[in-house]
Amino acid sequence: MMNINKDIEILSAYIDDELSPEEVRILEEKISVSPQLKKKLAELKQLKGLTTSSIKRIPESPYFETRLFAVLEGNSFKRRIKKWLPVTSIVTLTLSLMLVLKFNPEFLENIVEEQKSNLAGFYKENLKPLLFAADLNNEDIFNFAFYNKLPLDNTKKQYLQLGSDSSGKEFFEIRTAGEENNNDNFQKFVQTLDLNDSQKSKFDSIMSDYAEQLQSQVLVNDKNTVAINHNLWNYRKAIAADILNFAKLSNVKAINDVMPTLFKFDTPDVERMVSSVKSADDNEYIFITPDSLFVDTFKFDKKEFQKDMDKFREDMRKSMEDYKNSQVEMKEATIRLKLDSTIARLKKAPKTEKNINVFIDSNLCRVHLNNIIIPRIEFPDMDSLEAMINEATRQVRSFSFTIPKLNKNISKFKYDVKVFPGDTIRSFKFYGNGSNADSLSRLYMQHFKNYNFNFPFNQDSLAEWFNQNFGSDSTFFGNPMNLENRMKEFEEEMGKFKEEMDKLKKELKKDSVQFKRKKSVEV
Amino acid sequence: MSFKRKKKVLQQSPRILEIDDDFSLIKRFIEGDESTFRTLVYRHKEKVRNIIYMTMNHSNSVDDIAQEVFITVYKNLKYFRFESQFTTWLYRITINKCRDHLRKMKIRNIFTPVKDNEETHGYSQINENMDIPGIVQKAISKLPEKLRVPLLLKDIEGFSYQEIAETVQCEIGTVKSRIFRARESLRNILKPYERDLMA
Repeated sequence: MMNINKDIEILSAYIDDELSPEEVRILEEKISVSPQLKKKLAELKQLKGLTTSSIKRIPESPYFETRLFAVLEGNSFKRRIKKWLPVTSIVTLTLSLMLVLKFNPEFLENIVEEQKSNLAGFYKENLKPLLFAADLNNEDIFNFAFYNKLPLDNTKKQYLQLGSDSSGKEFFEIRTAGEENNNDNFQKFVQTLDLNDSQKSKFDSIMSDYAEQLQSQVLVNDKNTVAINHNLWNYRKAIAADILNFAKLSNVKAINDVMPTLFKFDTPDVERMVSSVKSADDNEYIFITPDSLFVDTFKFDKKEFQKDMDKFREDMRKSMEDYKNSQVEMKEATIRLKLDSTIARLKKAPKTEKNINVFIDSNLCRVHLNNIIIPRIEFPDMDSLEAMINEATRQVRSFSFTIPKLNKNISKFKYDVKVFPGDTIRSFKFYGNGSNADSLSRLYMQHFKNYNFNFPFNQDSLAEWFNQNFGSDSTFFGNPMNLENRMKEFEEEMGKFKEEMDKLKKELKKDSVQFKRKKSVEV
Repeated sequence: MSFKRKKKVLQQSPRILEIDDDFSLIKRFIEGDESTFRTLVYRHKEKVRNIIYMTMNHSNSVDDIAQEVFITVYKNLKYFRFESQFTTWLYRITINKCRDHLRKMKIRNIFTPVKDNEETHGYSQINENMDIPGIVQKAISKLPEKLRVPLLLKDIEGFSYQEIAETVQCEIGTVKSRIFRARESLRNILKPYERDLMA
């Protein structure tokens, strides 16, 4: 049967002309001898004929191509737009920029100017006088006046060098300091002039005045900007002239010996020049920044700066006072260091408030600090907590009892047990044969029944009773006569309970019989 | 060579030429001559439309699907690798598009309330007053898609088992079995009309 089905399946491929010549030969042999296969072949051929002839093909669509290519054209247009979009946008942008520049030529300049002012604003921020970077002294001022050098930082690694070229044009440079040493020019000059005390103080005041004046001529900030006023060049000349003028007025002989050719100007001219330089209100600064160099106006508020400086001086004065006071205190708080060779001596050493005793051994270094102020800290009451813990620990300790040997004088038998507070081990020994407390009532049944002696507890309540009475001094066995009565009551109660249980059993039996019967009926 | 073989060779010769022609057209398209695509469409559109019609079992969306097929071909023709016949690739795209549509229709039908008088698509009843082609057509429409498509590709479009297997993406043995099962199912459906059909 399976072979027939297989052959029928092959027949389907046979009529479709999908068999190899070998398969065709084998199948045709089978068909020639099998009427069933012949019939099936005829059926399949008829069915194939019906299928081929019955299915109508869909009529042609005359507008299909037109519609398709219209869609494709639309798509290709979109694709073309996508392709040219970057180029088109760049061209549009360029054209619009050109138009803007044509009708508003200052557009770009404004942007550049705005950026410039932004940049200048950035570098102008937080400008402070050179005082904050370099603390100028008389030597520095003197060197500036005669050697054109002004230090720009405290370490004096960088300095501003003023100069002039052959055509007389002035310039400046920021240089790194070399090996040259100009530290004592001012001192030499003062020594040459051989000034008296009042002249010296006057000279000092002139120099410090210029030092202050120079602060506003060179400004610095935290962005490595150095702003130099145009007037700095004039200041240099004015300082030099003023110093020489002072020298001339102080000791003209000495200065003529040193520099005979320099004195070609009159004192009034110098004074006039100095006052004009000091009164010049020049706000033009040359800004030297890490990435740019520009000239811009900058208003340095001298009054505000003076206020700040006064405040600063006041703060400094106060801090100096504090420092001096602390120095005084430190002097008073002398630490006495005594060397002792043994601990015994160390112990003997006087323990004053200010003494610090140090003990150094080959493997120990101990420092004794006397009168250290320890802050008050509220700790929990550890003592009471510890007492509670100890009490709880005691309560869980085990107890052992030994029942005493019984004899005929048992009626006189009496146990007095005392528990002392603070006992760590509470063991109570009863000399006898009984094994433990649980067997007390059993012992009573066996040995005490002939005696008029009762325990005041039963087996179950033993532990409870024990806890209640055992914590303080007490008589262990008090009122022993009630036990027999209690046992009788208990026996009666047990009898009643037994009766009730029997009743319950009977009722349950009845119910189970009924239930069984019912169940059998249902089945 | 037997007569049958000679006939087969004669039948195949123009087909080979046609395939080569498809390849040359595609090459020209890839080189930039997009007008050749119009020739390809003109040459294959009816076959594509008929495959869609047979697969979908109705003529409603034949042109829309065919349009989608040719747009896909247009977009991907430059990536054609000349490893198989163009028609095999084209018909595979067609069958896949039809399957996509059938899937979408099934999902749409879940959310569409079924009307009592409306015939469920593809499962219309055979009317006794129908003529023989009508009866057979309805009977074929009752076959499931995976049996109907190979049967029609064979009997109507004259595809070989190999071509059918490449188009519907399955083994030749599967195609052979599906066509046999399609014929058996068709015979069972048409059993009540056996006398009319024999007449």
